[in-house]
Parts: sequence; structure tokens; C-alpha cells
Amino acid sequence: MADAGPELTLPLPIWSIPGSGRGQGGKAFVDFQSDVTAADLRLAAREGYRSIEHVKRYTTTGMGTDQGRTSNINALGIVAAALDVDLPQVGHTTFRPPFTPVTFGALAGRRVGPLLDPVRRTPVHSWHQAHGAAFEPVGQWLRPYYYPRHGEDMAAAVDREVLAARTSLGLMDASTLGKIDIQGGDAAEFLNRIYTNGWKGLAVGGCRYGLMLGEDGMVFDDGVTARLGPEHFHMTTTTGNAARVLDWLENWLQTEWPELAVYCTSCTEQWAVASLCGPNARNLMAELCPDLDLSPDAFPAMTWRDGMVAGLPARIFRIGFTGELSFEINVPAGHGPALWEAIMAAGEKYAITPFGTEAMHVLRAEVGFIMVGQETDGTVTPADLGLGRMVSGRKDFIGKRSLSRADTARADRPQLVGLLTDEPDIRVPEGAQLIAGADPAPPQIGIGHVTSSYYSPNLGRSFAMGMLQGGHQRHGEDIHIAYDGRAVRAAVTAPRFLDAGVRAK
Amino acid sequence: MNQPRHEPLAHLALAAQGKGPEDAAVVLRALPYQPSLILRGESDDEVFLEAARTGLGFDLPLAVNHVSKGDDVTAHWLGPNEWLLLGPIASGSLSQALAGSRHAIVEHGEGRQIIALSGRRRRDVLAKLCPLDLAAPELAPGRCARSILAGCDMLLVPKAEDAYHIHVARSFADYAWRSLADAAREYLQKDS
Repeated sequence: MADAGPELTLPLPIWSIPGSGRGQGGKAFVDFQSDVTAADLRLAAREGYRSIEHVKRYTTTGMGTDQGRTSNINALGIVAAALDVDLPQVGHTTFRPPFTPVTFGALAGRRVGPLLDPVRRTPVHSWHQAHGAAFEPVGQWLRPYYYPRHGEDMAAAVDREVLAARTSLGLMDASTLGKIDIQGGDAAEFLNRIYTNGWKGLAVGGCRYGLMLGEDGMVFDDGVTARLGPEHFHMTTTTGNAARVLDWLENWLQTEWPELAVYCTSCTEQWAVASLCGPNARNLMAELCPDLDLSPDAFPAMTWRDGMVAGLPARIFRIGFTGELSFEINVPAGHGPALWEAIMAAGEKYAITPFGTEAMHVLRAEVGFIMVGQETDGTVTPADLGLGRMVSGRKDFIGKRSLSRADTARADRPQLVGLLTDEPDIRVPEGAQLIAGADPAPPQIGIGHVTSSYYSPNLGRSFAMGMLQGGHQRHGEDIHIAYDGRAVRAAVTAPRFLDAGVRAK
Repeated sequence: MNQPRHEPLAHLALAAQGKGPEDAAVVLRALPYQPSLILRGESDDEVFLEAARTGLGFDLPLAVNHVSKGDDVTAHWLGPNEWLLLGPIASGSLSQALAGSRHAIVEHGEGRQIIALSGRRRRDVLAKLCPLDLAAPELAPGRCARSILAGCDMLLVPKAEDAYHIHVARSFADYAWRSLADAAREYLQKDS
């Protein structure tokens, strides 16, 4: 080593540059991800932290997504100086992956493009596609949104579909509704506990609308359930809540009421469902199922019958979601396309019109039917929706106790109302705030919000529903809706714009 | 019932695509409709088990994830009170046999698509899409398992003839098929 070359001068590491004087140095940030300063590190040393792993946890230095790659060497140097030890003695913290850049591609894998997320197709999906439907994702389902004809925009298509359903005949694919087969000696008792209304009196062959509440008394789901036999029911749920409702039922059966003899089995996928509605619905059904007595006395609304429809074995429900005369035809899923084609062919003379989810929304809102997840958001009771009559006073059910809580029972809760703006062409956005005064300038105290808002070709104007504080007592009053930087005046009405009762007989 | 039954994967026109080579590294086949029922009843209910034996002609599997077979019908354990019965069963005669016992029978065949996955790289394809340990002895022929395939619920049934039968709900069939075909791509390219 005697003739070593010229002495190598290593650069002097400077881990921290001191400020020029008190109050002038500012903060010396070391870890830019976690905002850790040199002073924080020295404080850790003064407080007695010796292990760098402890310093890391105390100060959060090196805990960002870069795991200290942009900061740790400086932090270690400062800690070494503060502890008066050599840098190697301090060691380094454990780097936890991913501390080197990982591409989004590696994280996504093959779940990109058409494989991004499972897509559920109804049995009639190919027909919808072939007939130009625009699709709307509803959960993982793809549902026809509307069926634009050549040159039509969405508004024109939806208007046409809505008018057809009210004036002649409309057809909707309702296969996505959740369906749960419920069997057992205690099935009626089970439904009595699950739904707010009574089920023991429902005759075989009958259907009933039901509301389910959470334990907090808030509406959780709704749907029509039919009694197939003395110990056998067919429950329908909203499309988006199907799996949640089955889990909910199973949870109560397995953990709270194991003494009940009831089996709940999903049969959503077993059935294709065509929902036929409009003044000509019975005429068409008479042609498609000649063996069935379709008169209102023999087959009234809210009942079901087994029968052959277009030569296919079917279960037919006199239920619907539009307020029109309706038949919901269930056939084994593999017969769905054949049923649909047969209905479309026979319905041609009535200018039968397939309609999508947007027209369905307009139709149901016109007659004041609520949409779970739209009128409800987990804070809405049956009474808030004006559905207090659905709540039995004579039996117990999930959520009952919560309905008598002071807050749940107060009169000024947000309640469902109809809203008609002074300017009939304005379709206020869903979610828009309801305000008392005509001046939209902040600060404002919201008195509610819009839950549903559409244009109705039947009314020839826009209409909306919303939750308004104490709304049930305010029909006939005017309120304002914050819209586009101004306040649009709107009349508060009952949440019903067309009369459903007569039509649906 | 003269109307042809529409298969969930009809839109893919798989038959028109022709058959690949039988010895390909991965072979996917959409199996045609098979009737099936879901049978519910309690594993510790002797009356139910005896009635099921009478109706089926064989014992329901009571061990977790086991499969038992009759002449035409196969029973798959899905849960302590749930079985899938696959094959031509007259639900009428079964419910007659079960009449005196606590049970439920639900028609299920229409809502089901079975995809057969075979070829020597079948396990590699499945491993990409499913979290199960496919080499585990619990997944030998004669067993079955509910799991996830690319985000879809599935029932996995390893078959003796070097194939997996993958049951998915009808609405998921298109997505499941595309996911399997995508996962198989690399093995098919190497072959060619």
C-alpha cells in the first residue's frame, strides 16, 4: 500500500443544511410524502427513540408509498448525527412492496377492456343488441336503456316509448329483478317478520307488494312477492339488491330464527321475464294464451296464474311498475328469446314498443311509484314515503321499534312530494337542492333535494319528486330549486301525476 | 315445449367456429343444457335423508364438497343443507318421495351454463382466474367446490376424464367464457 495513488477525497455528506438564523431557516422537509422535517427526526432522537424502525413509526418518515426511496438516506443521516453514531449503525428500515414502480397493467392484469368487470346479460340480450338498444349498466347487469330509432336522440326515443306504453302496448325485459324461492312450513311467518305488512292472509294465487326495513327502520328494499302454495312463495327484489336481500334473509334465518322451517334459494337466473303493459295488454294476452280466462274477475290485478303463453309454459303475474294494465310473463330462461319474439310478432298490430329503463323510470314516476335507491337512501322510513299504510300495527317485523324513535317519528322529517317547476321545460337535475327563498345566493339552508326528475310526454312538461322537510303538510306551497345558479320556483304537489288505479284494472 | 331452448352462449356461434384440435393445450366446450334441481334439507334429518335416498336411489353426499352419483343423476354438496342434483330427475317423483319431510326443491337448470375445460394446461388457465389451490387433494374427481371465476360465482367440478366442469349462472356465461378464452390464449399460441 506504500505507493497508493493520490489520496481519494470522498465528498462530504451534508444531511441537513442549517438555517441562517432563528426564524429564518424555515422547515427542512426530509420526507416529502409524509411531511416529516429534520426537526421531527431530531425530536425523535431527543425523545429516546434509538431503533430506526421506531423512529420511522414515530415520525412516519419512510412510510409513504415510496417507502423512503426519495428521503430515507437523508433521514438516516440526520438520525445518525443526532444519535452521534455512524450511519451503518443506524441501519435502514424495512422496505415493503411495492417500493419500486409497478405498472397499472401489472395490477389490472387482464381485467381491462371488455373483461374489466363481469357483465351480466339477460336471456334476451342478443335481441336487444340486434334491435339497436342503448344499454345501461345496473349493477353488473346490462339493461336496455332505450331503443333509438334511426335519427332519434335519447329524449325522443324515451318519449315515444313512454307514450306507447300509455296509449297502446309496451314491452320491457324485467329478467334482472332478483327472484328468491321461499319454501317451508314457516314461510308466511318468516315474511311477516321480514316485511312491514302482513302476509299470513295472502291467498295462494295472490301477490302482494312488500317493504323491507333495516333494523334502523329505514327502507332497505321493496318488491312483489307471490304465494305459489300454502308453504311456498316467490319473492322479487330490486335488481341491484338481489344478492344483498338473499344474504339478509339467510342471516336472519341462520343466526336469529333458526327455529323457522324456511329455505330461501335464489332463482333469479331460472326465469326470463317479459313485462307487458298498456291498454292493449289484455287483447294481446288473449291471443297469446287462449286457454286462460283473462277477465278482470277471473284474473285480477295482484294475482298470478300458470298458463301457456305462445305455446310456452309460463307463470303470469298481474303486476307491473307503470300503473298500466300489466302482465309480467315468466318463462324458463331458455325460452326467453322465443317468448319475446312471439310477443313482438303478435303485438305488431298494436304497434308494440319495447322500452328501456329510462322509459320505465318516467312511467313509474308519473304514477308515483318509488324507486329504492333513488327515493330512498338508507335514511327514509315508509311514512316518509307516504307509505305508512304499508306498516302493520298488529305484528312485529324488522325495524318496527325504530319507527317509534323520537327522531324517526318527528313531523318535519324530509318527506316525499311531487314538484312542478314554474318553467315546464326545465328538467332540474336529480340531487338538486330545495331552498325556501327565491334568492339562490349563499349561504342557503337546504330544505330537501330532488330524487327523481323527468320529462313526461303525457303531462307535456317536466316533473320531479323530492324529499322536502315536512313535505306532507306542504302540498300547494311554493318552494325553490337551486338550478344553474338561480332559483327555480316549483309547486309542491302530491307525488302522483297520473292516476294509476283505473288504468291498471 | 316444442320450442327450441335458447342456449346462454348461442350468440357466440361456437359451433360455427369449428372444433380446435383435440390435443390442444387447452380445450373449452360449452356443454348443452342439463336439467338440474337445488335440493334443500338438513344433513342431520334422518327422515329427510331417507326420503332423499328413496327418491334418488342413492345417498346424498354429507361430507363437505363431495359428489355422489346414481345412474343418471349426480348430487353435489353445496352446503350443509343444500345440494345440486344434476341430470334427468323427475322433480315430481322426488317431491313425492320427500313429501313427509322438511325440504325444498327448486328448478335450476335454465339458469346454469356448464363449461368444460380440458387439455394439459387446463389447470394453468383456471389458476389465473380462481383463488383455489387447484393441486390440493380436496379438488380431486369426486369433489366439487364453490368459488370465484374471474369475479363470477362458480361451482367447480373436477372430472375423472382430465377436465373441469365449471358451472356459472346463465347471465355470467358470456363473461366467464371470454375470461377463460383470454386466459387460454398464451398456451394456444405456443402450440401453433
